[in-house]
Amino acid sequence: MAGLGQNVGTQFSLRSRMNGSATVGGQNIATWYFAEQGTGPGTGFMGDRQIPSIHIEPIEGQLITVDFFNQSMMPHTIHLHGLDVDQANDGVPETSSTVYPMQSTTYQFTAPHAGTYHYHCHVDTVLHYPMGMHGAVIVRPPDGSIDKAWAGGPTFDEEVLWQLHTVDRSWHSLSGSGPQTARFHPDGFLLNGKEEPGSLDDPYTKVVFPLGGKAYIRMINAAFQWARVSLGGLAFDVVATDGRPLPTPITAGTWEIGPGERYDLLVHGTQTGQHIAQIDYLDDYSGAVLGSARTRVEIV
Amino acid sequence: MTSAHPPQPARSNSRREFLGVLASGIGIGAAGLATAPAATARPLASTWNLRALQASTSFANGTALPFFRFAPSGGGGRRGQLPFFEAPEGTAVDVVIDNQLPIALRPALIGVAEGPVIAPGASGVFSFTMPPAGSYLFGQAPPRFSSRSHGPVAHPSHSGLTASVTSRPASGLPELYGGGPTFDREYGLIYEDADDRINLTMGSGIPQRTKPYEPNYFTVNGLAFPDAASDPDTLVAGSLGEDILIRFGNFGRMRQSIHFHGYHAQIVAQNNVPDATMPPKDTIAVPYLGTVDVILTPHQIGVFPLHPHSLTAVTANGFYPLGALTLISIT
Repeated sequence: MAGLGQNVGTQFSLRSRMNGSATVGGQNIATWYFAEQGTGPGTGFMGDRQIPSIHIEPIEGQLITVDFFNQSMMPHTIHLHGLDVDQANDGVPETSSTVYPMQSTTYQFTAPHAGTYHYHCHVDTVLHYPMGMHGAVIVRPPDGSIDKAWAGGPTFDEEVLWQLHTVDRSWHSLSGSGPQTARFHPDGFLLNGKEEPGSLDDPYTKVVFPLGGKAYIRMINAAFQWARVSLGGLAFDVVATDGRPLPTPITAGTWEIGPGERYDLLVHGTQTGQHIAQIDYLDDYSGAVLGSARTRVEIV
Repeated sequence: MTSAHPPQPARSNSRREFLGVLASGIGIGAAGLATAPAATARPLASTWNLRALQASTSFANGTALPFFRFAPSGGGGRRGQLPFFEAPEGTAVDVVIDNQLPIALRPALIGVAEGPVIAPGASGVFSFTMPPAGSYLFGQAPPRFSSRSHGPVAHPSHSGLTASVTSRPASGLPELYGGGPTFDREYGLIYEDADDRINLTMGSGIPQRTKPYEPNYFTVNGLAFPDAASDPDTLVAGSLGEDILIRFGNFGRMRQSIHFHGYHAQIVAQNNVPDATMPPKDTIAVPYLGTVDVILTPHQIGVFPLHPHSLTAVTANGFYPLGALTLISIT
């Protein structure tokens, strides 16, 4: 299940870290991220990298607590994007509250409909977000199962999270917003924090499932750009968006996803073969492709 | 120090509390917050008067940026800084435009009709028949220049020459179109963007395009945060369980992806075509020169942000959160 299904529960403990790094365009860049609480530098995503942040998998209908320790020297929050939490737990400094350095808070909410959601820091978001302070929230069905999308929804044999992200490397030495964050010029095009060639065979990114089986791809666009997604000629069904099932699935060969949106794709393994999935990041004004990230889809 | 925020049952979040949050967090005033939206009460008219003139918009980073704007001088009202007009579908409308700008204008009801060229210093009349009920953008005819081109700005539609138009159903009922979704109250939110390298040349006459267009100022109804959140027609205020129609429009060059905090909303039409393909969403794509109509039915009270998720659009020249951000206030 490409790392998913390992973090299902009702209580999560996260901390902020501002000492991460990643390699983009052959250059080492600083990253900020959320990791599980503990000692040492901590890791994000599936517990193996420092961009994007660690994912969590709460259970629909359960009271969920997220204990957050701000282990850094800047204010941070956790905004539970799309989970429709109440104002006090929304993680927005201007309307909720701020967690100052070396302080803690607890966010609580009842997990909504099973589906794909997002979380991120909402302090000086124009900078903290692209630095890597965003992660996935996958709400599991009420029975906690990890092989179906929602109660009564489609089942699957493989499940993969695709967190889309672009990098402007010049921003990764900044400490706050201002004229230097007025214009974002992406020069790194990532999928789950990896660019090619790392993304092609990344075990948490590539999609491998059996003939006759089904793969479920959860896409989160954490970039500032629109992205166009294709699966190397494979058709797929768009079955859910923003944590809700589509009234009728839409069969497509390409799909566009806007910043902050989520779409869930169901792929049927009708014929063995290897395909190259491609994420094209699009210019905000012209729609031209600025750069791409790719990975493999294998039906075996 | 540890603090906890247990989930809150529906509770009254008074305007006083809201103002307190804003006053302590971002230091804005309270003007306008106590005024109920009045868009649906405005008079209908078949003659609309506009003046095109030089203006400026103030941003909380301290910048007063020149814009060309339409100012309503008869037959309509305003939403924020932008003119707003409405009339029943099928109505014959004359828009009388007094062009006080140093450039020629060519008005258009986007996707419906284009008017005559109106020379600098001249007046002209743009006549059209109100299209089927829905949400429309009014402004300079669609630009024919490349976003990467240089030279004079021939079509300054992205300089603030924008208005919103609502075509009412012939039924006279509070519905988006005849037999369409009904609503208890409504808002119109028009997003724009501006590149200060162009706008700063407006004060001295004809704006010049000297760089590839890359906006660094962003507004909703011509206002930026926090002003947007204190404008009664731009702050989305309502009550628990109401059906609130929000008419999104994008007259900027950058397509936007608008994120609701606290709620999902149902898309009911895109570019005035009924659309039931999507479930309720918390992030709504609003394309360039497009409109998207959604119904928000709040399930909880509170004050929540509503903003683009291309987050440079939530800044004023990079200063966050001083861009196209407004609030939803549900009591």
